[in-house]
Amino acid sequence: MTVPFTPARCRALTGFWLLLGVLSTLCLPSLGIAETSASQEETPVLQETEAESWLRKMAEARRTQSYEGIFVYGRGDEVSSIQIQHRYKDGSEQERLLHLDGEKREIMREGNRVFCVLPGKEVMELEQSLPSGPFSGLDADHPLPSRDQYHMTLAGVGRVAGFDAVKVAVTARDEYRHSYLLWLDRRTALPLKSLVLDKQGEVLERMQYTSLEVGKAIADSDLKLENWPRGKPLPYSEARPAAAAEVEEEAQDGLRQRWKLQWLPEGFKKSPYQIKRVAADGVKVDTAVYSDGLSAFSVFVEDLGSEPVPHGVSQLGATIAYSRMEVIDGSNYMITVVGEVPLVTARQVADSIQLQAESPRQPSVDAGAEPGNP
Amino acid sequence: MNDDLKARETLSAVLDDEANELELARLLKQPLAPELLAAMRRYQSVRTVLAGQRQVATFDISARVAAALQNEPLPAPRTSAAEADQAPPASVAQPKQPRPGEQVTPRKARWQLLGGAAVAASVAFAVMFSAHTPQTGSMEAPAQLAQVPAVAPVQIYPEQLQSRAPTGQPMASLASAPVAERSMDEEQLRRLNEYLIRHAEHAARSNGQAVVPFARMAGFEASQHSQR
Repeated sequence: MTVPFTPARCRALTGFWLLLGVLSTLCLPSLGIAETSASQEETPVLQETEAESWLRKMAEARRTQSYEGIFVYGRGDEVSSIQIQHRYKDGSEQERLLHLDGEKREIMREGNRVFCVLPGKEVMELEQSLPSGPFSGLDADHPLPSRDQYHMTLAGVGRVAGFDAVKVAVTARDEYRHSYLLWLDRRTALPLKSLVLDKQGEVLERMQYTSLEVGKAIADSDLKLENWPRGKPLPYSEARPAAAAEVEEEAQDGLRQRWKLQWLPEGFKKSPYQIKRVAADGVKVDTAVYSDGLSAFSVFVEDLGSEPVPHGVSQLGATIAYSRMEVIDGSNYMITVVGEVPLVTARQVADSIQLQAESPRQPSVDAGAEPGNP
Repeated sequence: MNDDLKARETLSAVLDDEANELELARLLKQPLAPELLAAMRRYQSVRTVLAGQRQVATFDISARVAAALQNEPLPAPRTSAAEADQAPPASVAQPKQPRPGEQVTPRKARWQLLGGAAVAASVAFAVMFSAHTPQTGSMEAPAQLAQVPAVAPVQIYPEQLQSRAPTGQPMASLASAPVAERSMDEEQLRRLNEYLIRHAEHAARSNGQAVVPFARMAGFEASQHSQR
């Protein structure tokens, strides 16, 4: 499948509303269009299908290609344009993202470090490193979602931002996750467009390049932050401050030992990643992240004391937040699930959480159970 | 100049899903001038507002949420183009007066985050929340909720949200319209936004997202002061 690499340049405004119209007439499970789906079905389980092969190539491409372009990101009724420059050089990635709409915001990613630059402000390093740009979730180590949870199939061809594209449908096998439709560049497998769809085939979130230049030699000067003060050394030339990332969240306060999920949708696993953001004084909140490799949600359990707790649901694009209250020993606890999952998932997870009363007489147990807590 | 005008018309048509292939091809041939890009953004924002109006008109989100709760597909398709056309552009500039039973247009809120983090979220959410009274642990009556400081309009679904169905079971009928719009207070909105941002960070970090985790954080705005 290797195609000789050819730099291409094209600037386009694709009629993606037209595409959406076409899409909405399709029933999601039938996205596997005739030309490819027949052979896909008969492929032995352990052999990589063509669709999987494209996904794997995509994960690799978005990391190791150098490219520059503008993509449009929309969810709910919000649409924004973001310029991206991505360079792969000497085995490491550098990326700069610039918001083209509204206030000028920039994000600079250098390897695992991520910096936000806001107009007239000091630079800020995000406490958690943040893979950014389209499809960064699928990386070289985890290139494919599980076949048990998603049906991956080729879904035809298309054209995005002037590039010939292969469409890959990643369809949820159950009601507990969303489906994805991806357009990948035929030559490089770079993701050109993506849609997140719900069970009814409704588009919840979309990303689409409107212009993209692949293989461009991006000079150091191109990766400069626009809002960075002249003469000041670039942020990543300084050593990483040791403080923030290493501080264990104090406010957990044994809370982590006191709540338990009784139900998880199949395929979701707790992320080993520990959340370490420091909470404000007196705030007792604990969180955990669960992912099936493609979709993820976070659970927040917070002790609000006597504060009223909202109960309900809100949604923006593919992201949903569901909250409910639990009263333990006269204290109000807010249990919230936030994630790119259907409401039924968020709700069942939140409702399944069991909370135990605090046991102040056994503080040593809690302390001992916290690895890395001095 | 003439070309410019043509291009603008095409842009508008593209955003309205009315452009034909020929027009698109012509547009794609020319480089997009800054003025054209600016025009595109204006058209987009108008379209966005109109889309919001459309939601208002059709009560779209609540229906979807109700359907999701019921685990059933939506019975009816979304707004037709004809209905959308009826939303007058003039109403864009007018502040909307929420009426009971009407879908709330997502709106922006801006709050300082917890823990001295130097970003604040600006998250436009279609919010459907209610509040519990701490004393009883049950849902407040809409009349009592009116005392909550008005920050953002909120939909209340008393029946459906109050009666928690056993895990895995679809809820009782949720088809009824919300009885009132009420507010989450500032603190609750702030907390929700904090959760959203933290989730975006977590999810990106934990190999969660196939799609644009950064763009999900796009609502971030500068706050009053920086961390360092």
